[in-house]
Amino acid sequence: MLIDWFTVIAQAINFLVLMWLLKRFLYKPVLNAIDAREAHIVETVQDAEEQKRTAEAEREAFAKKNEDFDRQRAEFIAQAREEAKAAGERLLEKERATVDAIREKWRSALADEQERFGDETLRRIQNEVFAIVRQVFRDLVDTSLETRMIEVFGHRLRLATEAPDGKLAGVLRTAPKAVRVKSAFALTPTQQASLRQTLSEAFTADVDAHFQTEPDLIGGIELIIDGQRVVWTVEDYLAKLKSDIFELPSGSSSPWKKGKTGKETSIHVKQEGV
Amino acid sequence: MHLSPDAIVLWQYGPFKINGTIAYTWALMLLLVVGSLWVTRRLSTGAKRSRWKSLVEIVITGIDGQMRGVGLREPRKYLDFLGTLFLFVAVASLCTVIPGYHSPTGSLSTTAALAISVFVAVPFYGIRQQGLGSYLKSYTEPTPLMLPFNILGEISRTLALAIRMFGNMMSEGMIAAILLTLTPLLFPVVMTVLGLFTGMVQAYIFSILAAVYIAAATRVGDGEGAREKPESRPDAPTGAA
Repeated sequence: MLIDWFTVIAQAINFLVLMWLLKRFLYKPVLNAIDAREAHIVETVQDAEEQKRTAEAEREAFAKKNEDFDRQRAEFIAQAREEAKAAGERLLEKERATVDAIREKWRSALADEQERFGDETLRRIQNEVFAIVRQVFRDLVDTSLETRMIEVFGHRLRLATEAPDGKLAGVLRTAPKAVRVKSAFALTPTQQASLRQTLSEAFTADVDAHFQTEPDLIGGIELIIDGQRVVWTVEDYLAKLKSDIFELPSGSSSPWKKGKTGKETSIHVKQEGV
Repeated sequence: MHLSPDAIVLWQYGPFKINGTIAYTWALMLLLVVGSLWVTRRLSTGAKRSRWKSLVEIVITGIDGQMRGVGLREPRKYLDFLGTLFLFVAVASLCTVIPGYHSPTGSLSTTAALAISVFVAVPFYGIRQQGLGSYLKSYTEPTPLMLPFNILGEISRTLALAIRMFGNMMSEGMIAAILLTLTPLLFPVVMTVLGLFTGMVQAYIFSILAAVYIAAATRVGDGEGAREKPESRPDAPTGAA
């Protein structure tokens, strides 16, 4: 008999026991491990996908930021260029204005310097010339310059009053009560008497003359009659000489020559205070 | 020369005895349990694992895949039974390379026990899946006239399972023994290799057929109407093996 029923039953029981043992020690642990691994893999893949999505989003955000940055940078650069250009122009304008101001100041200083130099030159010339002239008059003509000037002044005054449409004639037409006489030098009593005589003749009346010394006049006589000044000085002559010196274009003729030939000293009438 | 390890009686007391079949079965059980404990002692859930663990996982997922392939919707429900069938038969066959070893599956008692287990398991799973009434009703389909034939089919296929495996395993041992006497050199080695191959094939066939029977018994409950497709019912004994 090939089949032993006891063995069949025993084998069936053995099989059931083996089934339980393998279930307990093999299938369950292995299947659990597989499930856990699959879950882990799924989780990992999901994490990876999530990270990929995040990375993609971040990449897009970064690209957008980059683009914005580039655009802003271009805008900033353009703006900075404009501002730099404007600032440069402003600075240039400011510097130009500063240079103009400095140039103007320099010109003004130069003009002042010229003025001062001219004044100083004139003053020296006046002093020197008059010192020489006085010496010459004293040594050669045997008279003083002042005496001679008073004579000439009287002569000229008379000539002036005789001219009917002259400016001086209008001033002298009405006899003043008092006349102030300014001179650069102290007039001697003789000279004062001579001048008073001349004035009386000119006004055809007695004139109360007050004499006053004014060294700034250098040479000449100045009458102050009712607010009008009658000037017989070389001041105007010298003022003209000064302008000829400092305003003379290069290559022009000498001011002395011009003064000699073109200009003639004459009596001038001015408002007092001028 | 024993045709069956049943004939090797190690201990006997009345009807109770321990023969070669039972002893080798216990040895195989011990081997399988110790092997399971060894393989699963430190299971990792990470990507790294040892070769043996990978092999076991491949075998188990392979069984799972095969069961799914024959139509079992939830293979894990049947893994205990079908997986143990396969592993027991396969390991029993693989161990034939050990000198002095006699495969328990070479005993008609063992194959009968396994066939009876299948015979019991099929209605067990069928009733659990679709209920007693529905399962019993399936024997009267497509027509009540088929009831005796269906019952006969159940019995005959169980008998066929047992005889098929026994015949194959026993004959393999017999042929090897006979050839060993005729040509003691070289040829028995080839036959042993062939025996390993046929043993694995038997393990596969036995498990797959059991899976197919269970699938056929449980498919009605899945609403696929397996009985409406007579050609899909693997009642006919597969005499090919």
